[in-house]
Amino acid sequence: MMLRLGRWFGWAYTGYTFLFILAPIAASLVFSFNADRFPSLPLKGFTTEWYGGTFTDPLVIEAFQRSVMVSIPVALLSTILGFCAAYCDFRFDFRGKSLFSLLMLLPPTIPAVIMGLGMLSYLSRISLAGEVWAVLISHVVIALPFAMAMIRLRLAQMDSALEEASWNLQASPAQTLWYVVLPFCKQSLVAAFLITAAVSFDEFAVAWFVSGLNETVPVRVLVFLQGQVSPVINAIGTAVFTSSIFLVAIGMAFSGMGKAKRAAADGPAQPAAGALVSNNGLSL
Amino acid sequence: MSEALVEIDRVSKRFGDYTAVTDTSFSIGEGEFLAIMGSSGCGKTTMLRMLAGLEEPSEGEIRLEGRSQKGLPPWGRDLPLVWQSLALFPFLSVLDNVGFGLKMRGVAKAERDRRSLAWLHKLELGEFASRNVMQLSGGQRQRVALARALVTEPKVLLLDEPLSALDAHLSVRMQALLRSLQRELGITFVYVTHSQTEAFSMADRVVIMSRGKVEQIGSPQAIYRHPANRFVAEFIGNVTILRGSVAEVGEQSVRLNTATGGMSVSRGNFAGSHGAHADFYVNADQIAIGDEPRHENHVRARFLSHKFIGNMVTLFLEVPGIEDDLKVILPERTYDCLGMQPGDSVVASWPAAAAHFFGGAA
Repeated sequence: MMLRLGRWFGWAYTGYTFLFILAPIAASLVFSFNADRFPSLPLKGFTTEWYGGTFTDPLVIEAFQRSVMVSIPVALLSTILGFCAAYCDFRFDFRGKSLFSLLMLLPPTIPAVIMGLGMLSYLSRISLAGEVWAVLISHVVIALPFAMAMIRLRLAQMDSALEEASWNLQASPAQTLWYVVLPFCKQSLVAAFLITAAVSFDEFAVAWFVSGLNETVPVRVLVFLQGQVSPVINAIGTAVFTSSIFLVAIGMAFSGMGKAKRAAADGPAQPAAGALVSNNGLSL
Repeated sequence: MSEALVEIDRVSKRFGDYTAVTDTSFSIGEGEFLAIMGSSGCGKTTMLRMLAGLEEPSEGEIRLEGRSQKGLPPWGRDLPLVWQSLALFPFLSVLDNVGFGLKMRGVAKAERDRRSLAWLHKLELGEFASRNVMQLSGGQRQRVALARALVTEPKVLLLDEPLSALDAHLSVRMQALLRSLQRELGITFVYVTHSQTEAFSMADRVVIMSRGKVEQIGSPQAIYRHPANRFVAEFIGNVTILRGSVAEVGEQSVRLNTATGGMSVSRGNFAGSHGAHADFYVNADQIAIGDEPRHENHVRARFLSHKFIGNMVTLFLEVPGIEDDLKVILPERTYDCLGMQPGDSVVASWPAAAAHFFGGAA
């Protein structure tokens, strides 16, 4: 009896938590299709007017283009650097290794405002503030730890004899990296790419500090909000949310792909990649 | 054994304060099946890893066909290893796993596939060529690992406890396969194992290691009949070790006084003199059991227990004055005819030729 009550309470609590997290997003989604200009109940009827309005606004289109232009190179760079860092941590022992790993994983724990300010003051000194480059560099700093963590988890599943077996079959260390280590990590590389793209696409605070006139989508949304409360924002929010969740979902699918097939030989499957992404959503 | 193909010359290996292998020398002949046997931590795997170049000896050197291997990285040697964990590449097909070594040597794809497939057919894996290795059974993966190591036609194949993950039945079949493969190819096998059954059933010569040192090298028969020292005798476990003081050194045998009376032991090249204390061992399968003594050495003993090993029975007898149990190995039929019950008093007897001094066998 107590057990059943406990379980019931557990479900209720979980449900409440999800409601708490998802209600604002759901509200945004619902009102983005509401005919009324003001987000209030009862709903006035269905419309796609706000979407139409959004995606014909040159400023929004430009912001979207810029976000994509930034997030793809960010994802590429973060994945490459993340792999290098993860492999370095996996393969080599050196003085100060734990400090190295700590510094690599530090950025997500720094408050966004501090990070944004720091980036702004640094990048303005090297005359990059306000450039698209500034957003790109800042986003690589923020996204890299996610990529590193995901790839490092995958490397932890690799039998250490695998590399030795490759050397033993006369593959040089470079060939081993290319023909053994990279193929072994392939799925986590794809997952890291998608998730770092999502991180960059969503990131607001630091971009707001360093982007200047080169607004990304989240920054554009804030500028909108400062001027007026328009249902257009709900439409943008929904679009951004959908694309991000899509990237994360594919990323998770990749990082967990073939789980059943590998399970027997590989030991524990890696934790869902999505769990690593936190604190980066649009704060509308 | 023909001339030495691999020479291990005064090799030591230290990891920090820990010495894994101490001043070890032996050589391996061309076409020989050599087993390195010992319990875990005895240095046998370190020895194999040094051969493969995965560890560099702290002292001494290893020579292959007379050439020092010092400083050669693993990828610069042609000494393929079959791994205990198999270490197959999970993202490659069976065919590509086998062809990996050829690919690294720059063999073109068509040639690579042809040679890999030939090996897969040889090991009855032809139909699995396009499968993922993860879809195979343990025994099949084992053979893929073997094919992957043999496809480059090396002179020496290193094997690190390759059968330890298989069940007993499969292990016996793989032992037969390995043995016949080795004979057919004439390749030198260096086989590391903790299993006496595997080592003794396959190897031409066995190296017994303990705590980083070689205890004995010899044919399985020689080690079984004449263990070099107390460690090997206890490790192999088919003899009982006794102790006595020399009473008389004769032409063929030595007379000793022991806790259970006078005993005769084969003299061999025994050099001790009157009054010296000496250990000797009695082969368990050369002891007769009955109501009357049948040989010159005899003790009265109490039958404690027995253990079946195939068609042989090992008996454990309690002898007054001896610390360890006296071990006796009899054919199952003989044991049956005796009709003994635990607790029965029996007479165990053996000829002087069944008892030897350590290292003294001529």
